[in-house]
Amino acid sequence: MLTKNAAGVKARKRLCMTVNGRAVEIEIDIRESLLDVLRDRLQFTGVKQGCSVGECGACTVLLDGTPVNSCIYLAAWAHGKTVVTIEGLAQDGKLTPVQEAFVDEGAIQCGFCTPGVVLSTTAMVDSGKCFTHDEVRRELSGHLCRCTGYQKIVDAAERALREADVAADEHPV
Amino acid sequence: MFDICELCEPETLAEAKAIFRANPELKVIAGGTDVLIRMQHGNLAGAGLLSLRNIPHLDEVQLLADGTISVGAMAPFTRIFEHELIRKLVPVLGEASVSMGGPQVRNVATIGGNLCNGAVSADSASTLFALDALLKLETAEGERIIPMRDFYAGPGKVNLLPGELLVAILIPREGYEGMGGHYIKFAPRKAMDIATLGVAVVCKIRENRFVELRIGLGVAAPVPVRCFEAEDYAKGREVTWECVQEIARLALKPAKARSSWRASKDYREHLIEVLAQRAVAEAVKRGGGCCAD
Amino acid sequence: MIGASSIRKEGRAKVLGTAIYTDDKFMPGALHGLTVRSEVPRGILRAIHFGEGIPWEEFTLVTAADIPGTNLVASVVDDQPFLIGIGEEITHSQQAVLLLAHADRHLAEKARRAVRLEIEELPAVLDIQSSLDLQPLIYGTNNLLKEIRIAKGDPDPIWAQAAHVIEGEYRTGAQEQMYIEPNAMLSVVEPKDGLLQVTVWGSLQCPYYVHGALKQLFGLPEKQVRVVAMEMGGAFGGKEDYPSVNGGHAALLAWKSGKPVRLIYDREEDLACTTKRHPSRTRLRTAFDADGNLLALEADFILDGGAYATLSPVVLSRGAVHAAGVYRCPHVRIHARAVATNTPPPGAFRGFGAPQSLFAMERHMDRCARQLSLDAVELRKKNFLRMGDTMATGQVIREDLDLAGLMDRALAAIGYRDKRAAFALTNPEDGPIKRGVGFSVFMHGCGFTGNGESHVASVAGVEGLADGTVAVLAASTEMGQGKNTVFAQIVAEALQLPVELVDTAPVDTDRVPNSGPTVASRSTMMVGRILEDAAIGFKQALVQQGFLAEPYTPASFQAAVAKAVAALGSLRCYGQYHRPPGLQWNDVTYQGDAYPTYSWACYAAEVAVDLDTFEVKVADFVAVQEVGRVVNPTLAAGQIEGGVAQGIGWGLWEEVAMQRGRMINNQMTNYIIPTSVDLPRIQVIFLENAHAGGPGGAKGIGELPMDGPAPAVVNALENALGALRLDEVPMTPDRLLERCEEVSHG
Repeated sequence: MLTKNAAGVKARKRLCMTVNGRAVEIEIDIRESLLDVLRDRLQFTGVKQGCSVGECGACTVLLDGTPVNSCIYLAAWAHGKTVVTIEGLAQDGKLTPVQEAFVDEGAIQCGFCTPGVVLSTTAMVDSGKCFTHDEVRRELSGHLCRCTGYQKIVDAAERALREADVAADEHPV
Repeated sequence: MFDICELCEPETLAEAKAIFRANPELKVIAGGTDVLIRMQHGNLAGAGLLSLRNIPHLDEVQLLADGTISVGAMAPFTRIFEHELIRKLVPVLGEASVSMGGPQVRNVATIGGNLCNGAVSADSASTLFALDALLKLETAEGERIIPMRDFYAGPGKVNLLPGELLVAILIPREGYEGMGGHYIKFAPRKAMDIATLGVAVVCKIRENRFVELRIGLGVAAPVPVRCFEAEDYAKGREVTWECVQEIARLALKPAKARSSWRASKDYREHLIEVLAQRAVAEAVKRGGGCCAD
Repeated sequence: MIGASSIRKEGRAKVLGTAIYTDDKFMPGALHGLTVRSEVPRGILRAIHFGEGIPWEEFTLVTAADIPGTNLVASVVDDQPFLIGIGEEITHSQQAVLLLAHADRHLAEKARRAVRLEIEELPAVLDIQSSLDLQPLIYGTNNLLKEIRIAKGDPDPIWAQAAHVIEGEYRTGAQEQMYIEPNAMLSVVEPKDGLLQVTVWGSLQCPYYVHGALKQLFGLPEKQVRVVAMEMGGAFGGKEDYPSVNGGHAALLAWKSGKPVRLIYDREEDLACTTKRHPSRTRLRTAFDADGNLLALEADFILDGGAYATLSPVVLSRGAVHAAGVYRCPHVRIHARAVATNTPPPGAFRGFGAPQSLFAMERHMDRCARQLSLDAVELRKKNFLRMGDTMATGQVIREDLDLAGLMDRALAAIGYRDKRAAFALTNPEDGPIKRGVGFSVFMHGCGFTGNGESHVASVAGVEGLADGTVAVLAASTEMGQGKNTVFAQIVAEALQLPVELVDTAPVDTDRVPNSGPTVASRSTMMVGRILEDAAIGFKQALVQQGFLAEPYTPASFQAAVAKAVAALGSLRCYGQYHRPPGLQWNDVTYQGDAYPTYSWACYAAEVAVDLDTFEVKVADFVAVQEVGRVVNPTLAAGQIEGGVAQGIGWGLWEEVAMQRGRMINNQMTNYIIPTSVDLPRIQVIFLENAHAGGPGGAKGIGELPMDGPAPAVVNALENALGALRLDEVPMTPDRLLERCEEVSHG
């Protein structure tokens, strides 16, 4: 399938994806990144732009449950996929345990890296796997934070993982 | 917004090869973590992209009947690192895979893209050099299989014919079986960084002697290199600390280190020697040898 | 309320993704602004050429010739133009020459690349020494942006008499703030009631700085300019002075186009052109008697100030005052200079000159201890400032100061004695890993230096809202440090209310008074103190006007406020800064109380050095500080942890690589800030000693943690490796290899 962008005519493409639980069908420009579409067209401005080249991690979203940098991911590639942004976590204003842990542990300062880090932590919790302290630090290493020194972020992630573990023990599937 | 003039998204490999034959000027894009960054920096302006993301099965890791491990070119690094076959049979490739970028990048970046962009710092390249890996390249006309070391043509340049796609990386049984291996990525920080130096070593040890040793270096020269002199020297020798030191000294031979703002030539050469020593010692240990004084 | 770890006020919005940062603000029809910059460090701009293939008629273009008011950025010294005009001198490689805007961001970027500047190049000054040598002269009559002399006693006769005279030279590199949100501005300029109204929303620390800059740029009175601080994704000083520049640029484009304009820097542009920490060179000369008592100190402190003065005079001032460190010394001479170079001007960065001079002093003390054959702990104990002692500016320490106790606490927490003993046994063994433990003792002056607070005369207030809750009115901005929460706690404490009933008003110059810039570790202590007064006045007003009877419950207070607001329309009470009695400062002689008080600290670091690769790993870190009373322990610890991370980064990895006056590693991949896997756990300990001048006894905290980590880490390196020329940060592996080779080659 070939989407041509002949002189002066911008190549359009129909994009169907699920964003934060809702089916979205829009026409996009093939030149757009997933970040462009989420922020500029769908107004999910919780997805942050810190570098545009996959270095800072502020634009992280969950794509079929996996954290990716939306700034270096073509929007066209999200066709048929499920996207979760920070706006898609809390239901009816109720914070998820991961979000609560970040607020309570003081893991938020300027908040610009927060959406991405919360999503990566959510992916860890949702994986059902166990993580050592070093593994938690490694899993979060794709998020640059300049405010916290990472300490309270790691504390919050470990707390969320611990709580999820306890919850799983209490309510085995 | 990227400066792209067209986006081709074939659904099959045959379709991809046909499009590429007809439009050899297209830029192939796999995970995009390199191509799209280059576009952000103003390079590849106005390029047409041939995306391989919609082609099924190109991302699989398999053990072929003859013992060859086939890693699909579109396999993302996270998949390689976590794959049971890689963990069991070629853990050194897993080590290299997990050292690349950060988690979000590894979830998308592919091993094929990492090789085809020709970057000398590619974390997978030096390891695949050491593993004597082969590359399966296909055009609409047919396929060819070439050794890794024939692939790199210069900084950022690889030997791909017009219309040719990298389809899989093949690690033959003799490349990995019974081998101890170790990859050291050296970079100023321990994540989200580009290697100042990459050293990959695999070796086979019997009765504490080197049966075989292979060393691949990244960022030591304009292209990834093998250290043949060091490897020849090792063959048949008893594993001793002196021997390992000599190997490391010889490992410097193919290096063409240069000064840059990242590191001086002196420092790079120093690193090659000490990290080759470390990587060989660890690979020996993992291969069942003992590096006595 | 004060002393409790209240939950961050805006934390919920941030974790939900609903907090609105500048680029998130919905503004239909906005154009995208871009800046065309010179690429040579020095020259005369001869012409601007517009390349082919761009529909230039669709673009809004602004050059120096368009500027309606004064083409100078309002700052300490008004010497920096917003834009360079044809025939004018370009003085650094990132000088803005042309602004352009278009609805299509992609096309705007293409257009920027299509502009070609014709520049007649001139020889440039690119380092401190060339500037001092006037090779060539590029600024004023002597290349000096500012010169300060501080004198106490007379060191001259001492050098010959003293048992020991020890000299050293120390250097520190530039450092990038690396807030994760790049600089961002949004502007609308439109007529309102027949008058031009300039509005800027932005990521900025100091709304009234930008307000002042816009007034001057457009030649407009106060009322026609409005500045709104949006949620801010980090700043660290990087959004203190620079927003006056890019805020002005955004407003010029909005004015010329008649449309809203977004001016959002991408990371590469932000790194290349915005302010950094000043590079420094410090020469120290100290005299000791035979017992190790400090007799005299001479400091020659130089900052590379770049092409314009920006904040260099005040950065230099803080650096100079901190240059003598925490030691008692009868004879001190400090000569401080900020020199001009043809590089993008550095500016504010957490610490503001103090990290540079304190790095030198705290490294020097360890070197002196080695030369005097004294323990570094003992040498410091002998010479620490105590109550009643006089600092270099003549300031008398009036508080109960126990630096020895503070130091002992830090050393005990990291296990200093045991570790030193253990490493002395293990380091001589084979194996590439050598370990060391080191520390630094330092202070940070709270609030502005000298008469700064009197000049600003900050105003802050408290307002009753219709629902009976209370709003804080201050221009102090939230950049992640916790201002919203801390101010609410201070006001809640003064009013004896739960913190939930107090929140901060949006920082909008149309609504909040000028409480001064959000800088200099002054918000909690200085603005907080004013708010305490305003809150008490607010309560008294409610009582006097019969709305409130004491004692009251939160519910009755809330009801009283609601009733008062309904009856009066609005109810606000303001407080203003008053210089505490007894504080004196002379701007000319640099004598007097440089700061109302200081925060004090000892930081200890354990390092492991790999002598194969010369990599340094910080294995353990302890930060002990006395910051008066801690208002919010969780937020305060967050400030310390983050500051320590930045300090370790500055000490080991963060290097701005320059080529022809231009940063060449201007990407996050190439400028190395620490990730989550590069840092140790940081143990934070607060020793509380209430300060009468701060709200509830609080002192300043924000910048302090930037001062100590670099010297502590490098001192630990010396403990691990022995005497080496460890005189510079960042101490990168490359540099460490070079230093080790100096020793092995003799």
